[in-house]
Amino acid sequence: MKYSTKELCLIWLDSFIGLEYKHKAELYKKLNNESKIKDFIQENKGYILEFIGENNYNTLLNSANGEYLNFVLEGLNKARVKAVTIDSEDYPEELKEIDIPPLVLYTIGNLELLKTKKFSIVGSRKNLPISLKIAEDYADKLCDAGLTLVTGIAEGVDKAVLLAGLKHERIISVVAGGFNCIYPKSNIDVFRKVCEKGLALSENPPDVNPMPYFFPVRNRIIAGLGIGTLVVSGTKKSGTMYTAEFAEEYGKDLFCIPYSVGVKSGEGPNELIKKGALLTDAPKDIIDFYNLEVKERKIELTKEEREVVAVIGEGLTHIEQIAQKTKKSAAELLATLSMLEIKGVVVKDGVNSYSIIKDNLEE
Amino acid sequence: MISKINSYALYGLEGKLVEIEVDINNGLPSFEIVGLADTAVKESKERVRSAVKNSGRSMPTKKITANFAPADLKKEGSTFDLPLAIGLLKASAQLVADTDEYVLLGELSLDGHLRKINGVLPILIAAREQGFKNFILPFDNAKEASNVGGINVYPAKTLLEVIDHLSGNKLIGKQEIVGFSASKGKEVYDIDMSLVKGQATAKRALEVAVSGGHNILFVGAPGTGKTMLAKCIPTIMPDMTKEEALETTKIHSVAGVLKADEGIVYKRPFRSPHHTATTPSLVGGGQNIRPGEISLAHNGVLFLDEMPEYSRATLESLRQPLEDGVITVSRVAGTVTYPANFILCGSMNPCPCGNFGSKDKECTCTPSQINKYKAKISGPLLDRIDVQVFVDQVKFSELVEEEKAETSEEIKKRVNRTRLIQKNRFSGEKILTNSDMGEKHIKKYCKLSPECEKILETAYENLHLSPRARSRIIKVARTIADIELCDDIRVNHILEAISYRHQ
Repeated sequence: MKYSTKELCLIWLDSFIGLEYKHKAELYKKLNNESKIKDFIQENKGYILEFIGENNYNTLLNSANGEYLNFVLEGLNKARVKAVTIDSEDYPEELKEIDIPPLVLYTIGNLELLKTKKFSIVGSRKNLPISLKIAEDYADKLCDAGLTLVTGIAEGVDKAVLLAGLKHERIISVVAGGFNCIYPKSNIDVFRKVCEKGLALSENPPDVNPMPYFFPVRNRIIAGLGIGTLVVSGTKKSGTMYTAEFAEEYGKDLFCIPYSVGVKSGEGPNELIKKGALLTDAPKDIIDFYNLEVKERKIELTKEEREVVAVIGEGLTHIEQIAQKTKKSAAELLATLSMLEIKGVVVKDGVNSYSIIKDNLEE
Repeated sequence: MISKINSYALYGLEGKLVEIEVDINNGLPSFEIVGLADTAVKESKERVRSAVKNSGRSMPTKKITANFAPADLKKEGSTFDLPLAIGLLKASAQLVADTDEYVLLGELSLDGHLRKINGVLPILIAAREQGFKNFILPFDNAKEASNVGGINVYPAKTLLEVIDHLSGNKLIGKQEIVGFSASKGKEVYDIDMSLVKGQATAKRALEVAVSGGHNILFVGAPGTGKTMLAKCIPTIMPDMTKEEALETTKIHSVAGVLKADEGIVYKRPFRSPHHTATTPSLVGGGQNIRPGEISLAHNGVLFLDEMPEYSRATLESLRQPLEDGVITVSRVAGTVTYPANFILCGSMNPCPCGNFGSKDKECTCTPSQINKYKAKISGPLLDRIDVQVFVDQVKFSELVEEEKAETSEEIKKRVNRTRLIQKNRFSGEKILTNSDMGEKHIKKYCKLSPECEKILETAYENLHLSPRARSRIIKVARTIADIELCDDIRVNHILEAISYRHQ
């Protein structure tokens, strides 16, 4: 991969994990027009020493050579990583508007996705079963409406969004830590698929191990990339809430799924709604909000299926209750419910209870 | 004078003839047993000594040698007390009788009473095949022995009775042979499907599983009725045939779990070993190889409550018997094959805390905890479980009216019918039920219409089914079609089968 001198300078600078962001940014400003980095560092020793300390200064000086740079580039190539710097053409405009834009984005996958309209979906790892279905449904429909989804790489909502987005090949996963240190390891397969069919992003070089504090920092990128953010679930104190706060700060539209009282994983979104976030209970809300075009998706139901859906709509969600109301045998009912599940109209929500996914039905 | 008495020893489920020779010589008084006898057999000389004395006979003060032939066969257990005592009396001329026609079995107590022994049924069947007609055995084993026709069984209570019988002084009454009747198996279960309130879908799943011989897994929180449903399985299984009953009785007899008043096992066995069970206790083993729980569950149900709590190795050991219907246990002492054809019924919580999917309580488990919990049951084992049902408790207040529930008897009729259809279909094959079908059979007997294929394909996409799920769904759909008396698998059958998938 070819990089310009400016890009190389940033990649070089970003490879020092010991340097703080503000120091890197400051140094970059100064280095911007210098072609001879080593000379510059030596000439401005007093000034640089003052804010990065002696150890860092020595490291910087010793590494200011082509050999070290090649070593860094080789590491990137080995991990099949393309670095997109803040001065690169591919760098997403949205991120330049946030207060701490990453200097370098390490990417694997389809960079074209960065130029599309993006929308972030975030949520908790621990969920009610229906939350995952909701996430999947929103992801599916929003992709259909032409949005590219942005999310993390965790279990739970993230994974549901990733899997749905992969089907449409419109998915960006922002990872905390380097690509060689994916956390959680159980999602490494999904990560590989994202690299293949979507886009994986990280602000850390490939071999950086993720620290717990990386995650909230990473969340600013998730919030920053999207035109809006959907919070599917989350407790009052969770990473999801950080993302929501960032989204608010950056002036993005914040959508939340409402929950009933007493659901732990619903306290976060409810809190946000209280503070003025937009309530959504169907993907249509978001699609209409942005005036997006939707592909016509009408699901035809048979008479029996309609009957079952109507009963569930009345609030009789347990299979026993549905059976009693519709006077159907267990065998018939199981078959009908399977069909409705396959058609994506109802989901199994809980052990033997079913819920309707809104907006899949013609009114 | 040398005496010779016939007796039998057990090897696995086979009976083997053991001749007990007793010789009395002049010399220092002693009592020696030779012929690869284990401790219990060696100890029998003390029991014999007391029993003989307490029956009013005397122990000869001479050198006594007893030989158990064939000498290279290992003998174990207390079955040889009675023949040894009679042989001793004969050799010391305290009893004059012709014993060549008889087979003697029984353990002695010190006062001369006869005690119950294990494995009478397989011994009698083997001895009958070798031409023996007359048997003397403990009274407590009489019921069990009454199931074998074509022989004379003389149940005795004491050693004296045996002596009197053999010498012709006072004959013991012959045990009546009881013919096998399947109807005896009825009404013996203390549980019935009609007693299970609600749970219509779980009941239906049970019927499907039993009809096709599919293994079944209940998923639900503790206290939702998984065990009760599992206990209902034997009540809707077809009545045992004579062969099945005898086979099961043999195993129970060998393992010593047969009750004296039971005679033959009419009830389909329901075994529920605790999750701390060791592998040998489950599949069989031990120094003197004994049948394990899976063999005791032969022709019945093996219920594994809280399945993920069993040790991994124990669960994995079930894979081969689930496939073959028999278990071969090999030890230094020998190799024994026991039948083990059972329906496996497992139960588990949806997650470690048990609340996953509950509407009232929130699950406190992390996704990785749940995955870890589920992964305790390996994929290959899950592959052999075709039906999975979720079970939860419905509050009575939520149910408007109480439904009239079907009794086990009614369901059993349908199961019998469905089993018959399968028996006819697989008459040329080596398999009996739909669950036994391999890929070859599925191709041959489960042709799917294009419509069904399309449903399966969409389900695969939209419900994230695993590729392995496909053949399981088709097999279950075949069973459902059989229950509904349809020759072809229809869309409805596929759909219902999909609802029993692993989730």
